[in-house]
Amino acid sequence: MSPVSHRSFRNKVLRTILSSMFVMLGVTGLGLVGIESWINEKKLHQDMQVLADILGNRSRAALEFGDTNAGQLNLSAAKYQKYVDAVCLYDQSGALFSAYSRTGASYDCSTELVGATQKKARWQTVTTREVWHLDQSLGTISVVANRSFIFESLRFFVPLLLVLIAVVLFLVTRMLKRVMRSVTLPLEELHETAQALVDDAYASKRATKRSDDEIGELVDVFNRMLDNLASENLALQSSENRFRTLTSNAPIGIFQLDADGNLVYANERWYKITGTHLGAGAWDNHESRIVKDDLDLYRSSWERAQQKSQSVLVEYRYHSDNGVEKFLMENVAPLTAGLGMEGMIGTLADVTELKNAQKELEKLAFYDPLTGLPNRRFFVDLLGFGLAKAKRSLAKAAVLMLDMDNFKRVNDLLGHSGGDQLLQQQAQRIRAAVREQDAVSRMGGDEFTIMLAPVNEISEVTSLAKRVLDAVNLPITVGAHTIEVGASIGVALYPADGDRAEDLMRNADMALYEAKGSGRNRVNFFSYKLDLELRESLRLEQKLRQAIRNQALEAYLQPQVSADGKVIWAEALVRWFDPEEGQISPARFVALAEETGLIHGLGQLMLERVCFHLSQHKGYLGHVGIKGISVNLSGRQFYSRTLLRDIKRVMAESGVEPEQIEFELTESLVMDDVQLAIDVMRRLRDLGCRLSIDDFGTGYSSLSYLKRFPINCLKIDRSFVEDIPHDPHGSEIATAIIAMAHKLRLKVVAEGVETEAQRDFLIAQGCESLQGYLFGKPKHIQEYVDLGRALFFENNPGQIKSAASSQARGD
Amino acid sequence: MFKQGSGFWRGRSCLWLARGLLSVVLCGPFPLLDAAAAPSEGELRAAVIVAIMRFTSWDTVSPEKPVLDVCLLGKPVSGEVLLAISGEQKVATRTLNVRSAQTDLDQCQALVIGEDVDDDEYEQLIAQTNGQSILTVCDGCRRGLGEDAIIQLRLRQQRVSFEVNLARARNNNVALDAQLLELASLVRR
Repeated sequence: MSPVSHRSFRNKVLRTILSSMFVMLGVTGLGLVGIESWINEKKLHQDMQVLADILGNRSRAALEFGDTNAGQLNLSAAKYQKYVDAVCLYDQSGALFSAYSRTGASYDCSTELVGATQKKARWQTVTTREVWHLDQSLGTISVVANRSFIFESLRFFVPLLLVLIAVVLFLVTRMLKRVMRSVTLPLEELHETAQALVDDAYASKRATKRSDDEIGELVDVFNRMLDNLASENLALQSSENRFRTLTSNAPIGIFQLDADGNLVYANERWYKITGTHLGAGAWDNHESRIVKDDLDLYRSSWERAQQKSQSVLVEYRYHSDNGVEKFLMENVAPLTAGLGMEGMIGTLADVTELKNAQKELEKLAFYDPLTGLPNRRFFVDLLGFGLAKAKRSLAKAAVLMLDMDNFKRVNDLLGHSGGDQLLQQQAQRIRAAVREQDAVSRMGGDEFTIMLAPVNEISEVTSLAKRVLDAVNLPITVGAHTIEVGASIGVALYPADGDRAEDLMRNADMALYEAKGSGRNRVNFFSYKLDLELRESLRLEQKLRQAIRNQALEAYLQPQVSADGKVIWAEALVRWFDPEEGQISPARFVALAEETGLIHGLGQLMLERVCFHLSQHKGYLGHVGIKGISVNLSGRQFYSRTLLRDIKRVMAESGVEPEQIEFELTESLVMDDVQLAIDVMRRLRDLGCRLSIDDFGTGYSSLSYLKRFPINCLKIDRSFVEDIPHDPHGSEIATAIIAMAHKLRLKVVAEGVETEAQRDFLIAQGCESLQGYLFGKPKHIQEYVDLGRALFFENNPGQIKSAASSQARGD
Repeated sequence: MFKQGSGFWRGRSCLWLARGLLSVVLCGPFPLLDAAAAPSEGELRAAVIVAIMRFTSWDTVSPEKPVLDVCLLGKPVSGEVLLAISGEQKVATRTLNVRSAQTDLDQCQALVIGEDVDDDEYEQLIAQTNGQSILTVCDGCRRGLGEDAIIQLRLRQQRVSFEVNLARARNNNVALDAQLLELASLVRR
């Protein structure tokens, strides 16, 4: 608002008030004129009546005495009333008795009373009264007055009124000017203060309070508002400083576009990420660098953000300055103000490294790092997709589970590195052997899974499986070695063997298991016979678990004899007599126990049984010749972290001497992890127990390791004994083993000795101990206790039972 | 204004007693009079006397008295006419009762004295009415007499005029209207 408009405002108010007053006074004046006129007219009328009465009264005598001269004289008194134009006096008969007429007045009394009242000029009024005396009408008098009298008084009244109005308006104008000045002056100061703040938002100028009235309160409120604005401005400035500092130093790019899409702000980091430069074309340059395939996605994301008024996160590829493609991640949101959109604001981050890391992670998550093939997780997904596709197209599919035969030996031969190289080459061969649409994955170890989908005929599966097997069977060179590796393949067909990925993989695994059991290096299709076997296996596992929990397994002993035929030791063998099925072969349940992990509990149970009898019936067993008992240790038991603690506990609880216990370990067991095996063996030896390698000769024991094993003896596998002495190979191997053991200062136990010839040969070769049916079948440990007891009483006939009991305990 | 007028009127006491006066005073209520014929002097004088009575008030006479007793002494000029209208003519609400009287003058409100009353008798009459509320009218008294009457009628140039003795009126407790005095040719105080 300019000062001119201030004055205009003041004048406008003045004009309005004065105009209103003028109109009001004018109307009042007109009203007063009207009232005055009305009063004058009324007064005139009353005066005329009074005058008529007076003149009439004064004319009574004249009328009574018929003295027209006297009447004339009476009426002429009306000349002193200027507004009286004429007076007409009529006698009782209505005849004109006498009259008065003003000189120059335009009125003549009529000679007869009748019609006199109607005779009047426009500006004249006639008042007629009857003249009475003593209740008798003497005549009539008419007074004719000029109405100009009514307006004559206005000649003075109107100018006076106008003068008064002018004076009032003048005084009011002066007063209003003073009042308006007192009102507008603070307002002008408020305006000046506001203008100062418009020029400088941080100006400290404040309006001066000049009164305690409403304007003073307005000034107070205005100043408080300015104080609030000042504090808000400071806060805003502080906030903006914070924002600028943040954006300037932010590790991400920050940008803002106006409603027309022009870049209005971008921090340094944004220019650095985009490789653009400050200038008008920065944004266009930025967009031109987005990889064309991602440009549509980018623009649709922006449109979505604008339409839905929400932030949108978009990732896109970007051509950097050096031509390398990088990944950018942009979060953009519409910037709204009031009802409209001001523009767009967003952040930009270079996520190339993150993206690469993500890709690597995805690769690790979905691909086998060794072979580059999909891993199990990814394969399951692929299989799911493949099955769905096959289902839609009413096609068949197949899942192949492949496992290298004797891959452990390859690892032993080539080392883990060499084994990995072999797996990589085999993976490439498998991949090359199947079709493009098929999927190959590595499950882990030497196990591969293949999905053949879609498949029209079973023969196609057979053909492809054969091609895979042939490819795997080809000689392969790793380092300096060229070896041949066989493989077994289990096949499950969709939909015949299942319609779910997990079912098909389980069935293929079962078929593989069967293939392995059926001689390896072959392709085996899943059959429901396999499934039944699996179910049977599960049933047996449950029963075995129950039997172990109920300690329903029995310990049997098979004696080991010296060259002179005396029993010196025994091997504990587990036997299971089920109440429903009778005796269950160890061949059935021991392998199952190994697979299911129940072997740990089973071995623990056997150890406890053996220790119990040894501690309770040491004397009787000693009479039989059994000084100690060998107990088999499975791989799971051997590598268990609780092995030593469990053994110590059992021995401590039973009181058995450690040297009474020998643990038999298989070659394969100790060769799984030689270093750990040697460590565990040392601890067992330190405990005082004896150790032996069971079934020696069937495994792949390295002689270098054998030398380091802290063992007491070797047990020659029965396969080398059974053909002695007729088979020269078996005899030579047995001889070599015995000689080698002796060289290593180890004792030798020959297993499976069933004939005297075998016995004699082995004894001749220096074998210290023999074990086999020739010397006795395995018997329940209690039978040996009973036998020992019988021998004791034969040798000590005078002993009483109680003594026998203490003898039996070895006292 | 009218006071000034009173002075102006005084001294101009000539009344043209004409037909108009008679019609006002006498003819209205009296159809006996022939209005078409020229009025006689007696009629004019009677009309003036009646008109004077219409402007006269008697202090001692009760307003409720229904008649106005007019007594005639001697032979006034208007005597016959007055007698003729007796019982018919009214002055305000009271009816004129005109009679010739020698006695009981105190019962009269107006005494109209004629020409044939001698000086002594006249003086005696005047003295007798002194203090009495009686309007004395000298109608045709002999020259030299009548000045002691309240009203003295005169005929001059065919005009009937009258003179007023105001002092006498006051003595007799008779009030005369100011307008009457304005019409009088002479007012004695």
